[in-house]
Amino acid sequence: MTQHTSRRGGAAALLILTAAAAFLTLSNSSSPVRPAVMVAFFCLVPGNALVGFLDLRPPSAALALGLGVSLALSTLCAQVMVWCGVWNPTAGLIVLVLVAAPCLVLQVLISPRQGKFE
Amino acid sequence: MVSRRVLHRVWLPAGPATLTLVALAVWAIALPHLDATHVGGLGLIEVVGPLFILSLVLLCVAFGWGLALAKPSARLCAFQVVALIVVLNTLAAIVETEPSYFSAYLHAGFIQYIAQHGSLLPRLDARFSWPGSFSLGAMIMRTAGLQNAVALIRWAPLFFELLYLAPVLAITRAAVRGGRVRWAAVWLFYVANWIGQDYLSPQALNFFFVLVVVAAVLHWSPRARVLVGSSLRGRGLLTRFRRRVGGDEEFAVQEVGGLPSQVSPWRRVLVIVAIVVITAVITISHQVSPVILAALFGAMWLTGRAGSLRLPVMCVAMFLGYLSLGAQEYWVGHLDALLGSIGHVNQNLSANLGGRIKGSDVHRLVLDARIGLVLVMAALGAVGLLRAWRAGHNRLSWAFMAVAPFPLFVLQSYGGEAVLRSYLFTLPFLSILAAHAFFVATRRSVMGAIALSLISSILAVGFITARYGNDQFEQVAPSEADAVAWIYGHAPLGSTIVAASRNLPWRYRDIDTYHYNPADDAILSNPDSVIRLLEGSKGAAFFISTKAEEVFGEELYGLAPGWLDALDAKLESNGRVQVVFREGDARVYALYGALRVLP
Repeated sequence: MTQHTSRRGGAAALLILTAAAAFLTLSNSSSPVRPAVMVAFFCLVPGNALVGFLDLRPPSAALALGLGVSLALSTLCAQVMVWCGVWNPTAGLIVLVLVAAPCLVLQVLISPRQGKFE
Repeated sequence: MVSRRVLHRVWLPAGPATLTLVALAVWAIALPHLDATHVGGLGLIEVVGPLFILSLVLLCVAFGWGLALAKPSARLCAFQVVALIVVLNTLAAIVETEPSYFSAYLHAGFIQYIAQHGSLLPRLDARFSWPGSFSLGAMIMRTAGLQNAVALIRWAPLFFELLYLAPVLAITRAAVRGGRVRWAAVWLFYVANWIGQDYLSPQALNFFFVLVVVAAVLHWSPRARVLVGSSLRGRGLLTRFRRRVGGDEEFAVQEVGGLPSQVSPWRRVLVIVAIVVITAVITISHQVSPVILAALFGAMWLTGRAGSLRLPVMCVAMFLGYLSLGAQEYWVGHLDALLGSIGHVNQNLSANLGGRIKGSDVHRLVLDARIGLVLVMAALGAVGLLRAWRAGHNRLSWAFMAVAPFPLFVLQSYGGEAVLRSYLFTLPFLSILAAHAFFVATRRSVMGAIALSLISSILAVGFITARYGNDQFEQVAPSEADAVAWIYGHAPLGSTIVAASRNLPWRYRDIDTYHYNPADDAILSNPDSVIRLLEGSKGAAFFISTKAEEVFGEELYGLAPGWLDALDAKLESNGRVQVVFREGDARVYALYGALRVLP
């Protein structure tokens, strides 16, 4: 599997996770997998959707930054809602989904130039 | 004929991989036989049994075997490290009936409050002045459809330890060339991380953030690495110092796949934006982590690992800015608590070292094990530094990183916990040095692998002793959980809930609608003062007494054995209070008058 294919596969997997998180929350599902899906979403999706464009190396550091940015953006989103007195976790989730999903779609559809990321 | 590639990638790693699976099978067989209900002063090590210990030893042997191969497999090492993380950090979660540790329940209460009200209570508790982690927890709780955050407590240690893996690996990758040294460092980080700061808490999340920021700076900071090693030009004092401690220029150029100047400017800018955002989140989420991050930034700048002084300055400015404006409600009225211990080096050392070494003779063995583990890691770090130096590899900059967090406990006692926090933050860098005690650069060393297996087996057993050594009082018995649940089910809002100590699974809900006493680290051992508290309360008042509180008082406060039983006896013979709930060792008392208001 090439680096490009694996990158596209990762973005596609995150896109599926995003869709699952949005569906489970908006449908107020009582599925036992919902907590695990939500934790995975907040840890993985927002940051990796953005950091994925940077094509950083090595992979361990890129993954660490993706996780860090994900949790930092999720924390900021929650905290801004608290400070502004507009506490609505579902709306916060939707904002994160709306930021992340287009980035992930772009990463799935657009081919980076070969060699640029070597 | 098997090709060399297949031989090294598949056949040779098959042996250690199989042994790792055997270790996991032994662990799975051992678990159902563990009974944590009658743990003594040594904690869970008393009940884990030989099969569990065997699984740990097999894991360490398998890991050493994997590193002894001519070409160690990164995938195998990653699998083995994840297996180690699971085995070490799920013990309490699996064998105990209820999630453990009273502070985690309190943090669940903070999360519950934010989830319900979308606001903060900075006057109730200082931690609300740094609310980022709790707000994140509240958002996860609500979007996950959870009724309360107690559900997050049980698996939090496993979650956080897995989260640390990527940044710790990234830091080791920035530090050393050889895969053996790198993975040995990651392994040592986990077997030596007995601190237990990975429960549901702001410090657990912020330790992760700090690791990420350090990893990002080491890999992508502007001008980093071009300052490292003999490439340095100039004669200034700082330049000469950096040249002396900097490290291997040859590594800097080859291993990272290009100097930072080859990373396109827009990507570098975005990475710096990410670093600034994460640092800002650390600043609003935890009071201690920004200070340690500033110290690490300073060490990275001093040793040339980060090219700019702007990072430590930015971190300090954010910290002071937020402390002045965002955390104003905390420090107004608490200035003495915040600044009072600064400069009182002797008092802080005493609170951090002497103040923590107390308890029964049996429990002191646990404390000895903790000190022993720290000393073993420090000795391994010193040996590793020396071995690397003799082999021509300068690792002094990592020694600087390792000592950078320690001034914290000279500045602040932090409730006697600053030394623990410092050790935690020092561990990723100390582990890098310690790994050099077994392997240097890319060289294969069967003896090093055998020594690593042996020493990490000892450290792993020490981990179980040190990490779960407080389990006699940190473990939550079902009867304790039921007693607290009974109060929440029966006590009218506004009631006062009194306990002999804070070591209870309480305050996980309604933190603002009940009056809790003690809300701090005080301990109530005098029956008269308990009755005065109950009688002095405005609404109904209840007193909870549990076995865990009694052991907590004995081990941490040096109270006489059976002190809470004596207090219970006096309360029962007093005539003004009666037992309204009794299950196992847990009792709930109420004033006779209070019963009238019960539903």
